[in-house]
Amino acid sequence: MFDGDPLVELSHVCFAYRDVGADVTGAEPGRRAVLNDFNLTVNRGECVALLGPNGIGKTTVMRIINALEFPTAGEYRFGGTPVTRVEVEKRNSRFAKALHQRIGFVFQNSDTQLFCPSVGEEIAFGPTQMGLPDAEVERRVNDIIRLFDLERFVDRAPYRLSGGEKKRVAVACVMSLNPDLMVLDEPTDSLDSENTALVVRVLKAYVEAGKTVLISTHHHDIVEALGAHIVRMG
Amino acid sequence: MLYDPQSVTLAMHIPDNFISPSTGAVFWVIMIPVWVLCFRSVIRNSTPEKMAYLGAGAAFSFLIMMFNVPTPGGTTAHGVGGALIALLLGPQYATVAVSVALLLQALLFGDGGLITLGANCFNMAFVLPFVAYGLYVGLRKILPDGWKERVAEFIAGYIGITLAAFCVALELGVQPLLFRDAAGQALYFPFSFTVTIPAMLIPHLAVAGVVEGLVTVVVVEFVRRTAPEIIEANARVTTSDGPASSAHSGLRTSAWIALGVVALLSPLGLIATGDAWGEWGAEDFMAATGLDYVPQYIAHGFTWNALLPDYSLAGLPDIVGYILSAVIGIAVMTIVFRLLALAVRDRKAVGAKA
Amino acid sequence: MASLPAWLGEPERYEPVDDRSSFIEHNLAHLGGMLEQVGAPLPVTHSPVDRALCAVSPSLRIIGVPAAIVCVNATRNMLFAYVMLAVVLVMLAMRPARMIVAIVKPALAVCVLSFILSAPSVFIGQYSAPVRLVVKAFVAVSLVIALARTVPWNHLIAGLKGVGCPDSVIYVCDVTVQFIDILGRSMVSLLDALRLRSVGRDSHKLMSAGRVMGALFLRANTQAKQMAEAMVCRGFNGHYHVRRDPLVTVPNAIYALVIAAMIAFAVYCG
Repeated sequence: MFDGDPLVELSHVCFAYRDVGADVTGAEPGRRAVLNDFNLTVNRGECVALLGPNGIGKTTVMRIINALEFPTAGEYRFGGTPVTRVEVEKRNSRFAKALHQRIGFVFQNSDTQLFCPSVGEEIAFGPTQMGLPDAEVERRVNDIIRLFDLERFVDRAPYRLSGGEKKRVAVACVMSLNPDLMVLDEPTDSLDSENTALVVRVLKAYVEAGKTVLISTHHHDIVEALGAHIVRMG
Repeated sequence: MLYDPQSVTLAMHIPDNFISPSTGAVFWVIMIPVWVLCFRSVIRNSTPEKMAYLGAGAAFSFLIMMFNVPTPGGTTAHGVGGALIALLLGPQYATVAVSVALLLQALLFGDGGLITLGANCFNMAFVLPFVAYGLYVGLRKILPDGWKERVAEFIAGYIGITLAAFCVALELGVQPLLFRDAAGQALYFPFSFTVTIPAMLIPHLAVAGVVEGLVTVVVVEFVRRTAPEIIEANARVTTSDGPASSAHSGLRTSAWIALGVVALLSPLGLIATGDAWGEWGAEDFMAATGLDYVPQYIAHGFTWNALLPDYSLAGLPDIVGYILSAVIGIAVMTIVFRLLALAVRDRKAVGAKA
Repeated sequence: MASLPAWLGEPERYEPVDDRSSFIEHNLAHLGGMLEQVGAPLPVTHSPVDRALCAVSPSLRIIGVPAAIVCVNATRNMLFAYVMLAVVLVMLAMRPARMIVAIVKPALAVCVLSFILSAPSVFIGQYSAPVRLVVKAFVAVSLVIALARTVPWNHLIAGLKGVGCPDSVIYVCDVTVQFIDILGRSMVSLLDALRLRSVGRDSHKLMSAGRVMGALFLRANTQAKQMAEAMVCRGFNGHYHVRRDPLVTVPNAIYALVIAAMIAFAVYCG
């Protein structure tokens, strides 16, 4: 499952958010269209940057790829396998769990992504869930901590960190799952140049190792630094 | 699940019609001084900051009260979170926050009744947080170091919710003793103490209390580890500044006032809801429509006295049952207030030490 | 910077194991429904009943609805309850279908609960309790929910002034609803984050749930601080005045008369 090509394929995807409050008035439920006949292909080993103005649907595309939303029309395939609401929302769906391991999602707001009392536990959460032996979990956590230069923060609470440090922790705790695809929603928003450089270096190495990266951003310099393939929206 | 979880979120919410309007009114009367004092002690000089924190605290309470907690076996259960909110925010703060949350639940979402709002607030926004906080502060002092924090938090949650459930059982159980029509049919909740007390206490002692206790431990320990200053600040706010302690003594006074009011209202309620309400027409209507026709011999065979064989009250007039329940109610409230007073004393002692 | 560890270069061969857990999905579904209700105010142009009722000031309706519930609650004669049931059902029937669904679903839920709780009472000779509770529950709940779904929440809360709520309490309620929206969304995001990383068997589910709640509490604290600072920056001095709607209007007078008539009928029924 999920081993086919291309890695991500959105074909003729439409999406509309249900407009709040409109469903009890007797009128047709109001819908706010975000995506209309949107197509996107991301191949394995590629680095793709989504560019476009605010509100054009970049976050929605990322949420669809992570199976947090489902297209109202059109199809989404991950690794050749169609991702549907039925499969994902099945009770205790193994399909969903396998998919979530394959895709890592770094939220735009790290404040609402980090929920552990310490950075160490935050990074260990994924590997522990995967049922890896304790020694392997520890090895992975240590590797990731070194990779993201987080030694100073291991026992600190994510809540206590600055915006840039939180973002680094968020990328680190997602990467500890070793996903095939890293999806980052405007990762450089809260990063200063130093933190940006670190994250860009890690992502570049990740792509060079054959993994895939999809980011959304407003900054052209990071696109250049990553050598990303640009997809313009809107 | 058989019913829409959205509308019946908690077993603890008493809907309208389950208790008589007079019972509802009694709890409104009890809660008004409590609300005033708690609100005043939280928002002594109404800085915008306090308003914002109060709003966030109430919204947090609202969300926590609708949160589904996982239980062993893959199912989920609703906690109430009153103990948790009390330990995180302080008891007066919790009273205001949970009351606002309950008001919005009733008004905006139709969860829990409007007439019963006073009773629901009494159980979940007053008894639960104050008992939990009092136990927590008291136990932290007497327990040995090591696990004392966790044990105190667990017991606070466990006893807090169980006692709140006990209050619900009393409020519901007293209804068939007080309010029946001429044929002996209950006007509101049909079961008496013999049913309500075990029905509320057994699941809470066995499951819900444990879940509430564990959730309290997990969340309070999380906050203690990540942001200890928030918990400590809350403890300091309620102890170190002068007016706070006067608010506590005010609270105690109001508690005695409330007790007095209950004692006074009990006979009033009896008069108002007893035989003064004319029953003419009721039986005629029932008989005519056949809607709930009750053969006379069954109605007479099942008076409430028959439901309480252990109390050996058969044959005694209604007033005995009424006085009995009033005595139980007042005794329970006295116990609660004594515990609150203990909490206040302990908090002062902790404040003096700090 | 350290170089990429070898295991990050390898594809992960991972097969998820079975786990029994539904609390994340449960909570997400629950929150989604709640946030939808807190959202935008509802236009009520489609229903003649609500168009008429909207002319009445919310303060008065906040008195009227509980008055009706007290009457239904207090009367022993079921005639009154059935009359009220008829009134409520007629009003309901005149509303658009979607609105009917939105009102009937939660009302029936409370009826089902009432029935389950009271049905066994027939075994102890309390034959009338189930009917009594179910009928009255339907009337009470559908009245409250119809009010909540047709009046925007900010008007409803402002209407609390009419029943003697101090301005500061109304203000706290207002702030609370805003925070329910903000924090509700934070909670959705935290649960999404938990779901995305819960890729296997979580042996500490209660711990995970507790962490989400704890993180939400910290978030509430941060948001409250930010809001307080923003309010100070905008010159808020802590005093909040709720505008009072004029009470003496024709629709208000008619509404008050109807309520008075209802109370009189309730007293007559006994």
